[in-house]
Amino acid sequence: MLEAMWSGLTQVLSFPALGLMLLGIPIGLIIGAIPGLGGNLGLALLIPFTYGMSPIAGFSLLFGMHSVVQTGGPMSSILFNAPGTGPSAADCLDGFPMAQQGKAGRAIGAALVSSIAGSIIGAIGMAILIPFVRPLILAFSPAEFFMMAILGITFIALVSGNSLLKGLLIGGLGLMMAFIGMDPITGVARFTYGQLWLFDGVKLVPIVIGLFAGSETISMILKGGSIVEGDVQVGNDVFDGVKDVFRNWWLVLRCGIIGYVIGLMPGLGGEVSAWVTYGHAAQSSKHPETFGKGNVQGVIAPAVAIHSKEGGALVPTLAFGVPGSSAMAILLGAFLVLGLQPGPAMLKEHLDVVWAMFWVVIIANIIGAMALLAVAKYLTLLTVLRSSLIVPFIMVFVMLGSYLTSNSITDLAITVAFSIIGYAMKKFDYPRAPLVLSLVLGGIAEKNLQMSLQLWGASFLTRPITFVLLILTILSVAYPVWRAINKKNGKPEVAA
Amino acid sequence: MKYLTSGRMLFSALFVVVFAVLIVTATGYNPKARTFPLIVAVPVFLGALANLVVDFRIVQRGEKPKKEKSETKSPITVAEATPAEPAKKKEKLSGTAKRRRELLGIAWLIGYVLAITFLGFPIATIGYMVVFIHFFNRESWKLTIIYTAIMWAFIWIAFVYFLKSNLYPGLIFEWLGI
Repeated sequence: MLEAMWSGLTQVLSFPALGLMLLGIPIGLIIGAIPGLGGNLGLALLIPFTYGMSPIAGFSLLFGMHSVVQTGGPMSSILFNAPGTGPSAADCLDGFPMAQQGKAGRAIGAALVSSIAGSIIGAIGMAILIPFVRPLILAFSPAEFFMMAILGITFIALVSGNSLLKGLLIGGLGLMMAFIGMDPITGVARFTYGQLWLFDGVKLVPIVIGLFAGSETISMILKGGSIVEGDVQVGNDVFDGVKDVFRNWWLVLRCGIIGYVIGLMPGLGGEVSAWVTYGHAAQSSKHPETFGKGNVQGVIAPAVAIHSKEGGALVPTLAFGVPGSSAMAILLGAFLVLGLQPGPAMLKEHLDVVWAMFWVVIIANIIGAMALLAVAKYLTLLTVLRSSLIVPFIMVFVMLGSYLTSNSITDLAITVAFSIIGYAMKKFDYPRAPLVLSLVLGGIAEKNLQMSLQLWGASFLTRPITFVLLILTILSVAYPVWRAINKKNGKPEVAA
Repeated sequence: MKYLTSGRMLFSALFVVVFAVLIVTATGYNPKARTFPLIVAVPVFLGALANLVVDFRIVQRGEKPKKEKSETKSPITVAEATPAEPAKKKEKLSGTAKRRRELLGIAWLIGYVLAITFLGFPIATIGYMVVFIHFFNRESWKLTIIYTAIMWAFIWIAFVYFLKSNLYPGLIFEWLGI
């Protein structure tokens, strides 16, 4: 084992693997930072270039790029409220308010170091678990997926800000939107009203971009000025964000493990890991009311989970050839191009390649995050540009990001509609996060509940992991209520 | 009547209408397909009604919703460098002027999308940037041209040249067969 580990490291740090990894990193950072592109596009573009390469060289390029896509993603979320990737939408909630307060540097610093921490947790988890993975993966069934989704949906209360009623209303709207399209069990087209483009359901990216970035452009045209509100200096607090990650090491570890476990489950995407950990951070915070208003923990939690999730998603891909995410499905194609067959045999015959992937994930994230940390101070200057210059910049990328999701003009109309809805929600105090949270989790919950009921009937709730998740869900609902009652009665809170 | 036509009330009422429509639509599906939508929509519809009542009371009392402070008190200082010109102070707008600006913001979004639909991404982006920066915000021609050129070059190099993205060419060019 140690020999293969060392062999993987030396091969990654030698020519041409190192050069290819260094080539992949800037591509990944740029693709991640531009709203709407996402890592899948980068993988699809780069796979043809790996023909004829050795497996380690090919994976250095592909993983070098793919590992850092989510590192670049939070940049546009924090600076412009325009999520670069689907999962990084969760970073808008506290990252952008921090930018408005002139703390963009701190938010970026925290997001970047969290990325490193998350990727290390994910890679270590991958290395530890691969030999014992089979029983664990087989323990996850639709019943566990359903309870995981329900646990996430209960966090609506935590991301609803001042108005729980409005939060639940918006959460309900998100769930109803998740039902749009073909019913997975009966095949009935629901809420499509004869529109063919709704048959596949609604796409997340155009909605999220409109809800956050589009609505922000309307606000900026209305208010003028710049993103930063008030008389503050920007760019001097990047290192504060770095320190925040170390101060919150326990949160980092918890969110890293949660993200990793979610990554292990095929079919639960990065969005789930980001939103579930955001909810967890808010739930376990002593000051949940500060979430959504610029709490750095709200930036750290999703950033860690998005990265650790990738390590988890690699496990079923490598061990069984079952892709843990859409990116991993594309990567399966790369395995074949490079002459490898994922599965138990690969873990025996090509263990050095597996370890090389482990090292590339860690090294690429460290290099990518360090590169962005070096320029973070200058990136924050974008938040003090006046609206006449920053609005067209955001608007163009909003529309490009929305269009490039599926090269459809319809997506632009969706983005405009949700920009207006998002602006109205902001104006009339409706929280926007519950809509994304329930839209991401609603479909997963319904599909897996239907499957669980068909497989086991109501007794699926007694499956061991499902039961534990059920208890966690009950605690997740009961804890904020208990805390609110304590607060009302004036009793001191017990640290969570 | 004044209360009923306020933006807050109309937005709340919109939720009631939307959920009513969704419930009516869902009842038309077979029992398996409608179960979950109805489980969600019916209580949320009741919640939307409650929210409408809450908002009516807020509007009736003339309460101001809790908002973050957003007024700029003084020019912004920057640690390392400053933008080309100092940021303009945000002016305080009257109710009518605010509504007009809101509609203008929405119009910019819709206008840009319509321009993309008819003229395609490249031309619409140039047109939109020139009109927004120079004519709407009265920035200098020099800044407008430089900024637009940089943005356009970035889009072309990144999306067209490297990523080979198929940027929408526009209906007019499709009609003309260009």
